[in-house]
Amino acid sequence: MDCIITLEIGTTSTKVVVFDMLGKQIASNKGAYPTFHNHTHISEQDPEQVFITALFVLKSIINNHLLSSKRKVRAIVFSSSMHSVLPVDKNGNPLGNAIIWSDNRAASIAEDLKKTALGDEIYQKTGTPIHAMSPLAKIAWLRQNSKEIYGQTAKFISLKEYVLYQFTDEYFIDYSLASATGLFNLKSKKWEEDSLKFAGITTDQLSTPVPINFDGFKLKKTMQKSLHLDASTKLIIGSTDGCFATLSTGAMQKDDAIISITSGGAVRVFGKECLTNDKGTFFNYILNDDYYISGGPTSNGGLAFDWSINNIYKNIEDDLDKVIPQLFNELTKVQAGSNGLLFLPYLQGERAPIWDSNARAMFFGLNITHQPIHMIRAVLEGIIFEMFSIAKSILKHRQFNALHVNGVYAATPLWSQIISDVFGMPVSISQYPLSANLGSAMLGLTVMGEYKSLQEASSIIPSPIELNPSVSKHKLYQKLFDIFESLTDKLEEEFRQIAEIQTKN
Amino acid sequence: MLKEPTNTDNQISSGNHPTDPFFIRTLNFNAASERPVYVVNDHEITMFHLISGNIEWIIDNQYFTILPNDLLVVYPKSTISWVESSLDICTIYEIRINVESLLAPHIHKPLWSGIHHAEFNVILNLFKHYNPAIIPECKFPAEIVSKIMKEIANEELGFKTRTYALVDELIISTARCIGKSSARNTDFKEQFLILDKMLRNNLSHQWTVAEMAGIVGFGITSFTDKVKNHSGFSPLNYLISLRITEAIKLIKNTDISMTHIALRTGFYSSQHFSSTFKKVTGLSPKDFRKKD
Repeated sequence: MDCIITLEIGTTSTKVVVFDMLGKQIASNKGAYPTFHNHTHISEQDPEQVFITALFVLKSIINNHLLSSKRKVRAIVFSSSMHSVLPVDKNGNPLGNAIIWSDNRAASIAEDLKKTALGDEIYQKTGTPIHAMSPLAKIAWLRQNSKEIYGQTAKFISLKEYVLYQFTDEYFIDYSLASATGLFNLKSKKWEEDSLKFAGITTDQLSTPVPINFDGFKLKKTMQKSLHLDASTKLIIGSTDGCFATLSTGAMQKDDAIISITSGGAVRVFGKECLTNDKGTFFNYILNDDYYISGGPTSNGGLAFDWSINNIYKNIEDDLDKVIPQLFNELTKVQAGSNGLLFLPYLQGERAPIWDSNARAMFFGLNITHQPIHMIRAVLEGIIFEMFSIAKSILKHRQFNALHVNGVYAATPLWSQIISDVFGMPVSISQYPLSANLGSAMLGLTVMGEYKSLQEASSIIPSPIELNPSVSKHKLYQKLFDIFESLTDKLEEEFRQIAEIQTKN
Repeated sequence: MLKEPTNTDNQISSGNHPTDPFFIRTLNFNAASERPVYVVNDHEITMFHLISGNIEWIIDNQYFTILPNDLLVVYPKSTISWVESSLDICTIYEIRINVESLLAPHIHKPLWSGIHHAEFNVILNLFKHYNPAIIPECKFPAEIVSKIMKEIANEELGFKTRTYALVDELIISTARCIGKSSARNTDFKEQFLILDKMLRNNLSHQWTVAEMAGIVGFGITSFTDKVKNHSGFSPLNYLISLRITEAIKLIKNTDISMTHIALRTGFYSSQHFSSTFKKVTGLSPKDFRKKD
C-alpha cells in the first residue's frame, strides 16, 4: 500500500500527516519548539531545533506507523510558515537563530521605505506589503545593525529551505514562499533587482526559485538510510501554510473568501490577477501558473482572544482546557453585540487594513451592567469586526458572496456563527483541522498523477459544515461595525500619542 | 547550634554563621528603624514572610510591593533594601537556610536535612530561576515558623529532629508553591516555556520527569499528558531533542571533544551520546563532524 507524507513546519510545531493515495489520513504526529523573545520586538527560533524536531517526528511516524504495515512512501511534500530569515555561512551553518514572521525589529526600516516611491514600486512588483514581517526589511536590518553576520552570510534562507538543505544538500525555494519575501517579482518569477539592491544582496545569496510541484531533488544517502526510505521517494517542494490552508478549502473555482483565524488571522481570495492598491494593503502569493492567493493579514486574531481569557475571565483556577467548554457555553448565552459593548482588538498594533503599528486596543461603551463575560464576547466580536474591515477593503476590488473558515479559532461553531452573522454571508466550516497538511496532500497526489489538477484533488476535502446568517443579528452587527470603523478612523492621532507614552516607559 | 528566634530584634546584621543549618528571627520595622542595605549570603536562601504592615522593597534594583501573608524567597547574592518612608511599620519573619550544608554534606557531620540531594538541586534551581520569588497569600510559612519556635522553646524529646523536619517541610512547600503560583492564570504554553528555558540552562543535569514536573508545579502523570498534548513529545524525548540540538551546534561550531560534548549536553557517557545521536540524525557524532 502506498502513501504520501506531508510535513508542515509551522510557527509552534512541525506537523507530519501521512495520507493514503485516496487522500485519507493514516497517521499524524507533531513536535513543538519554542519561539524566543529576548526583547518584546524579537521573535526567533533555533534552526537546529526545528530541523531535529522535523526529523524526529518524521522518523517516529515512519517507524511506528509505516514500517510495520509495509507502506511504501511515494512522496514527501513540504510546507512552512512564511517570512522567516536565516543567514547561513558558506558551509551551510546557521549564523545565529532564524528571525521569524512576527519579529518586529525591522519596523522603522519598513516604515521609512514605505513612504518612498521605491517602496511603492517594490510593493507593486513583489506584491508583498512593505512591513517588518517581510524578509526584505529583515535583511536590510541585518545589513545595518549586524554587520558581522551580514558579512559572513553566504545565503539568506528560510527555515523551510534550511530543513530541505539538511535533507538534500541543495538550496531551492518554492514560488509561494519566494513571493512572500518582498524580494521576488510576481510577473517574471525571478528575484527582483530593486529589492536586492535595497537589501544589499545578490541573486547568488538566495536559493533557486522553483514551482510548488518541483521534485527535482533527492534525499541524500544518509537520510535515506536513517529514514528507511530509498531514492524512489519523491521530494516535492510544496508551498506555504497560508497557501495550502487556503487551497484545502476547495474555494479555488468559486468566488468565495477564506477567513482564517489562528493566533493571527487573514482574509484571503483566489484570483488569476494580483490584488494591489496604492496603499499597499494586500499581500499576493503565487500558488501555481494560474492562481494567486491575495488578501490582508491581522496581527490580532486568537492571540487577542487568549489575552482576554487569561486576563478577564475570573474562573480559571487550575486547568484552562477544562474551563474552555464552560466558557464557550457562557459566551453563547451572551446576546449578539455583547449588550452594546465594542472592542477594538489592536493589542499588537495592526496590519491590514489600517497598517498602523501605533494602534492600540480599547473597550468602548462599557456601562454598569457589563460583566467579564460581556467583555470576552466583545473581544471575540471585535476580532471578527476587524476581519470584516479587511474583507470590506477587498470587496472594493473583488466580489465574493460566501465564506470558508478555517484555523483553530474560526472553525469552532460559536466563532463561525458570529462570522456568518457579522458578514451576512453563508459560511462553510472546514472539518479537517490540519489544513496546511491537507492542501499539501492535494498537491502531492496531483504531482503523483492520482488527480489531473488541484481542482480535481479537491475531492479529498471532507465536506464542510454549512451555516447561514441571521438577518436580525446581521443588522445589529452592521450598526456596531459602523461605530467600530469610525472609532478606528477617529483615533489615529490618539493611538500615536498613547503609543509614544508606552514606548517611553 | 540553633539560634533562638528573638522577638524584639529590629536590627539587621549580616552575621556569618556558616555551620548553622538555619536561622530564624522576627524583624520589626518602624519609622525610626535603620534601613541598611542587605546582601543575601553566598550560602543562604533567605525567605521573608510578611506578618503585618506594608513596606516597599528594592531587590536587585527592582521595586516590589509585598503585602501581609506574602512569602518572598531570595537567592544568594541578591541585594535587598527598603524604601524610606515615615509611614511604614511592619513585622517580618526572616528565615535563612544554609544551602552549603545541604549541597556538600560532610561525611563526619550528620546530614540534618532529609531532602534528597538531587531533589534539593532542583529546588535550588527553582529558587534561582524565580529569584526573587513572591508567593502571594500563603499561611504555611508563619504556621511552620511558630511550630519551630515552640519546639525550640520547649526542648522536648526529639525536638531537634522535629525542627529539622519542619524546616524540610518549609523548603518543599515553598518550592511546590513557586511552581504552582507560576501556573496561575497562564496556560500550559507559558509554563512549557519556563520549563524549556530551565532545561536549556541546565542541559548537563540528569533530569528526571519528577523534577521537570516540579518546575511547573504538576504531578508526574498530568505533567506527562500535558507535555505530550502540547509538544507531541514525551518529556524525556523533548529533553533528548534539546540535547541533540545543542550537541549539533557544538559539533559544528567548536573543536570540543566528543566526550566533553556528551557531558556538556547531559549524556552520561560518550557511548550513550553516540548511539542516541545516531538514532536521531542517522550519523554518528564523528561522521557528522567529518561531513562539515
